[in-house]
Amino acid sequence: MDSVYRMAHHLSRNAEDAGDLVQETYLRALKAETRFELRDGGVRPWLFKILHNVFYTKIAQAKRRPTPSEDIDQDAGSDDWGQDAPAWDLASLNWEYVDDRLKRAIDELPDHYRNVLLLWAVEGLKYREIAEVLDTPLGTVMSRLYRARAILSGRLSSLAREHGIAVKPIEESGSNDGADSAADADLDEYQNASKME
Amino acid sequence: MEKQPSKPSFDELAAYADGELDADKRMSMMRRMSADPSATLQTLHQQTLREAVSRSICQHTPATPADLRARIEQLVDSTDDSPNTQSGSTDRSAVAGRIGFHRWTPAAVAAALLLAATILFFATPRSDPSTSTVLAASLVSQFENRHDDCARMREQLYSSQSFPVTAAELPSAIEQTIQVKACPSLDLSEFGYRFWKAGHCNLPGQDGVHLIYNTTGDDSGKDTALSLWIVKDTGRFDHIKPGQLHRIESASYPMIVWRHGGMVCFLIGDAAVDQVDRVDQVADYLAHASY
Repeated sequence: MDSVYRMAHHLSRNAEDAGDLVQETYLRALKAETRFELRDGGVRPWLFKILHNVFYTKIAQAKRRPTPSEDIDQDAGSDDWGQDAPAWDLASLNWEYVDDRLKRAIDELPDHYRNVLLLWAVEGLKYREIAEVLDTPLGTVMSRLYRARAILSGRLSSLAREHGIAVKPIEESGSNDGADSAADADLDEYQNASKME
Repeated sequence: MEKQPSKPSFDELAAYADGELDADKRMSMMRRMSADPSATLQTLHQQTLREAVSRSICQHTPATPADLRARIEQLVDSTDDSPNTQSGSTDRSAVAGRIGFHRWTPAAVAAALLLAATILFFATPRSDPSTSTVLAASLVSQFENRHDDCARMREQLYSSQSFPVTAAELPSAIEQTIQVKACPSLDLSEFGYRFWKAGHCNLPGQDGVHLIYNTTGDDSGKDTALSLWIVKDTGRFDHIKPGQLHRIESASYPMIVWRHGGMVCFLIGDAAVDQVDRVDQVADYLAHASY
């Protein structure tokens, strides 16, 4: 229940609405449990999916729901997104400062990026599970997750430099010549799914 | 001339860091990453970022209100009122007025009980700190995958590193590596484990040390491995109460975490039934050894 409440609070951004969301989610879950199929991920992905449906149909009617086309339009041409993801030894930073900066950065993310981030980072869902919960294509999930990570890393890079930590952008990926075909085949599936958007 | 593996792309590193790859592909990635230090750094960064995001969100989200929890539990209790159950009284007056009553089929009752069990599991106050979930699910998954991978490829593991080959030499080597004052004896032979190999590992941090043990008298590598990760206690795991063993319930393998003596230790064994008790014994010994 804590996971569901956390997600509800994350979606609604206030405790009262979160409580209503959780209650409605469990109501619907209890009514629909004959259709529930237990999988490796357990019951949480199923509850999250119900929660998201409840949110977007009952709470977000007055809000503009981002669509896949909007997602692409927002991403296209942005200088902040889609750049090389920087990397450094994040564990070397003072965790107290990281938490504050990170919280602000997460709060400022677009909702559809934050949703993916929460399911990925906190709930530990796999890409496919996230796609099922959010009812979005796998490629879109990966794309949003990539950009959310890049944004957060970029926002934290200034903190890293303040601590004298060298921040290195990842090198452009090498060609697939000589790459392990087995490793690439699985990832090609992800990338092809992304191209279908 | 042997072809050098290409450098992994960000997508590949992210998939590896997120535990999206199967065992064979993880092995392949580890080999490719071994030739590319920047790839290792990026993987470490993504793993740490994930953990940091999890920590930040969890810390800044309020706990489930008690009245909400009570309402949900009442809601679930009301589903136990089925014509097909042996249970007695029904207290529908305790249920919120807008909840209707449905005639449940036996399958629906079973599913409702599963859901109820799930709710109660998460609702039960964790008075026993040894069963708290102190690690993000993603980090637990990383440890499990790494343990599994390293147990399978132990012959090749850390072969290029100049780490001690005997258990007796380990404490001083670890003290130097992670710069702690004292490390207990890491000879676990009395618990039926023989030290196999040790090496620098980027899990959970860049200065971690990973030790692998095997059940004595069994070199099959099946269900017999034990992994111990040791990192310096730098504050990253301050949320883990020191001096206590924390059993990770969400792990598929027996996994225990503790903070002591300036170190944070992560112990994980194979899933064989007879390993679980031994993992507990090892953790208890290491956590309480004199430093």
